[in-house]
Amino acid sequence: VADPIFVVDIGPDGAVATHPVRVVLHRAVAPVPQENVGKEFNTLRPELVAIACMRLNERPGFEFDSSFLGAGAAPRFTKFAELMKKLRKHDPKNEDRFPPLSIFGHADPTGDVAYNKKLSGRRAKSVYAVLVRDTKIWDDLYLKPHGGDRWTYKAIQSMLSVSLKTDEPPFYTGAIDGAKTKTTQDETREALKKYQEARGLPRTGFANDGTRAKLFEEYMLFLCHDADGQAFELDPVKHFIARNKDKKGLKGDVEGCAEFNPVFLPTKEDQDRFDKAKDDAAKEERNAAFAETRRVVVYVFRHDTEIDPKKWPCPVAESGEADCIKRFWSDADQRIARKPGEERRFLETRDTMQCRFYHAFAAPSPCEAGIRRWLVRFRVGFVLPSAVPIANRRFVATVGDVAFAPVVRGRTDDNGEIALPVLDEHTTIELKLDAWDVLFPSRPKPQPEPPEEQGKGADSDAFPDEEKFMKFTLDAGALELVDADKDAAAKQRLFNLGLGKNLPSEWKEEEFKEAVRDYRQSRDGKRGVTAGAALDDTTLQSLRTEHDVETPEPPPPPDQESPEGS
Amino acid sequence: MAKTHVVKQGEHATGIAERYGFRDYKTVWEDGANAALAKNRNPHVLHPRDEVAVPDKVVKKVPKPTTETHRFRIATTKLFLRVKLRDFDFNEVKSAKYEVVISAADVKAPRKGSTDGSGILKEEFDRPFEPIVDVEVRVTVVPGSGTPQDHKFDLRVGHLNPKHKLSGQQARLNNLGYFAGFDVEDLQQFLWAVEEFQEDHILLGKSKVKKTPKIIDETDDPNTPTGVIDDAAFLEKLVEIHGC
Repeated sequence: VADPIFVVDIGPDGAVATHPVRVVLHRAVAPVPQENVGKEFNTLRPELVAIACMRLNERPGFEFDSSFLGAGAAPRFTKFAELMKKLRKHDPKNEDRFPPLSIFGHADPTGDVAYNKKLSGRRAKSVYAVLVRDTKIWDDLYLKPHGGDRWTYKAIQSMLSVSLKTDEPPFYTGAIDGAKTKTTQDETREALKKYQEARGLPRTGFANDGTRAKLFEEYMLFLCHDADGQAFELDPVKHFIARNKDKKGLKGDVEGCAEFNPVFLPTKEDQDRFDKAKDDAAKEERNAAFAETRRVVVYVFRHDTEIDPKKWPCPVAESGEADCIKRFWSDADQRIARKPGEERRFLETRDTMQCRFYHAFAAPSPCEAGIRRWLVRFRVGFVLPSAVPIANRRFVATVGDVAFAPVVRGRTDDNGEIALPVLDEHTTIELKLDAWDVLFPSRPKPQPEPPEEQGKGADSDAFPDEEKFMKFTLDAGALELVDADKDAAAKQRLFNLGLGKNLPSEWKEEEFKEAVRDYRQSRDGKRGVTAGAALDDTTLQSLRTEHDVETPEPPPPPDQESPEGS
Repeated sequence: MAKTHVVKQGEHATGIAERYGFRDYKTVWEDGANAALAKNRNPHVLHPRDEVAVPDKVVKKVPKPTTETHRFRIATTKLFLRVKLRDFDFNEVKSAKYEVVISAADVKAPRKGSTDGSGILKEEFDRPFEPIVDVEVRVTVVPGSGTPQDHKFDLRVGHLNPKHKLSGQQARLNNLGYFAGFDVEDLQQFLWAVEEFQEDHILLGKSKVKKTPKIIDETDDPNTPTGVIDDAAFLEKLVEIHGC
């Protein structure tokens, strides 16, 4: 297990997340007898595995048909910076090393492929430039417009409209219009002069080379810093998978995927209507429908991932699409087919992307495919509010009951929660938790772990004392919905909350009644529950809320979309 | 009385032979009763439920005087872990330092070595061959940029299934770095890996992958091909590149 850090933060502006813990893939090999040495061997090649991601949505990150990054992208960059700092600490070899990235830009299907290919590449490059603080790349985007993607003085106005330094008010407060009217032209000139004066540049009132270099640099810092306001900056050689070997085209480090990998497909009827869109209102409706597909996704790969751009299948960000098409699924046309009366989302169907190579990164990524995990919360003490999370304890989870079932090791978080990848909709999870002393305080506290284990986290092998941990068996996926079989659903939840002695499926009427009575007694006054003996709807809903939904406070939960069940 | 041994996952001819007291797997494998099984099959790539006939032991009598000292030579098979290491770009990883934990004795002091000029790592297994512990391989690759990369592989020796089985094809694709899924039920992931492999090693970018290979479920009959059944070129290339 390479990654016990759990971050999932999905919002309207994009996402920052760790990928689900990738379990160890055992390689099956054949031994070779003496007489076949020289003839037989087994090949071992590492897999390309992404461990984390960031998605920047069009708005507020980008403007429509533009590669300019708006101020709204800043919070996402900050979340990404914090995630990268966590991942860096997790490198067993070197705590100063960030894992390497590759950046993929995406456009929507409107317009021709060649145009979209270049636009998506420009967006990815724009993000790359911020991460490595390369103002020359931005200047190139600024000086060489591509169709509708024209930075113009709109970009300058936008940059001057933010507070570029702590406690420094914005230099520009006028409309962002590209200085098209006399008023805004004057205001922009004035703002530029003030800026130039403040930075010791010649007061020209024009965004000349020197002014742009300084302004871009400061705006990049405004966009991309960590939670303490410190610059978050990556090295183009050390922190990208192709190591900047292709300095000009950035092949392998930055990709433009054109419109090939949509995350949303409209119904056939809607698409037909969009295709005929003539007036602005119709075009706006079309563009709004495809908004989620216009995005930039950054993938973070395992430490030690390095590829040769010459052998990397994706073409250079701003070049043609021929090499993309070579990498399409054999059924690529079907994947993007608009179906009558049916909208499709990658989030739900996971089959809307044409490029097979990209699909492999997107399918397990919370940034593209959302997230499904078994969320398990450990608490001790049944009577509220004394039930406290069993936080920061070591656990070992075996997900599945097949031979060589994946084993996940880590620690519970502050809420006493662990998140395990959903590999199977219905499976057995064997859990071991280092928590005997929590239930039985008289027991000796666990010994501090030997120093060589510290810092290695779940990347280390078995915990030396894990066989002594408290054991649980979870029947994952067996949880009844409360609307289906009310009694069974209630029994399971009561049992999981600590009531009853036998397995809930074996409860006699008496044990069930006693559990309901105990529950209502202890929750009296919470969520409308009153003391009593019957399993009424209020009690059932309270059980559901407490067991499946309720968020412990504080801190807020990291995950909103886990499946019902635990 | 000759016996029949029903293969379990992870077993191979040398291990089975040794269990029944044979020093050389060929004594068992080349027995006439195994002719059907042995046809076109690698004795160290068996499938669960394969049936191996175990012949009776034959006592070999060699008359020698009792008053002298004699030396007898017994033919034994040596068994090796032999892997070719490749990097992300499919280059052979030549002269790379590695550490291998191949037996319980290696846990404290892993065996060390360097891959040869074609990226091959070779280590001999200790006797007895059964059970072979899970093998761990750590390789340090120094690529073009000069930053050493560490790669770790967890191997299960003897677990490679025959090439005409879906599980066997999946394992080979996984070994080649095309993630083909954890088990035979993950057909979507398997298809992903099949198409990627075809692209890289058969079509070479000259034409598009045309059709989704047809898959049928794994059957109990060891000689019924499963997995990609309509693409002989794929199967041949897969075994050639994987190495067995």
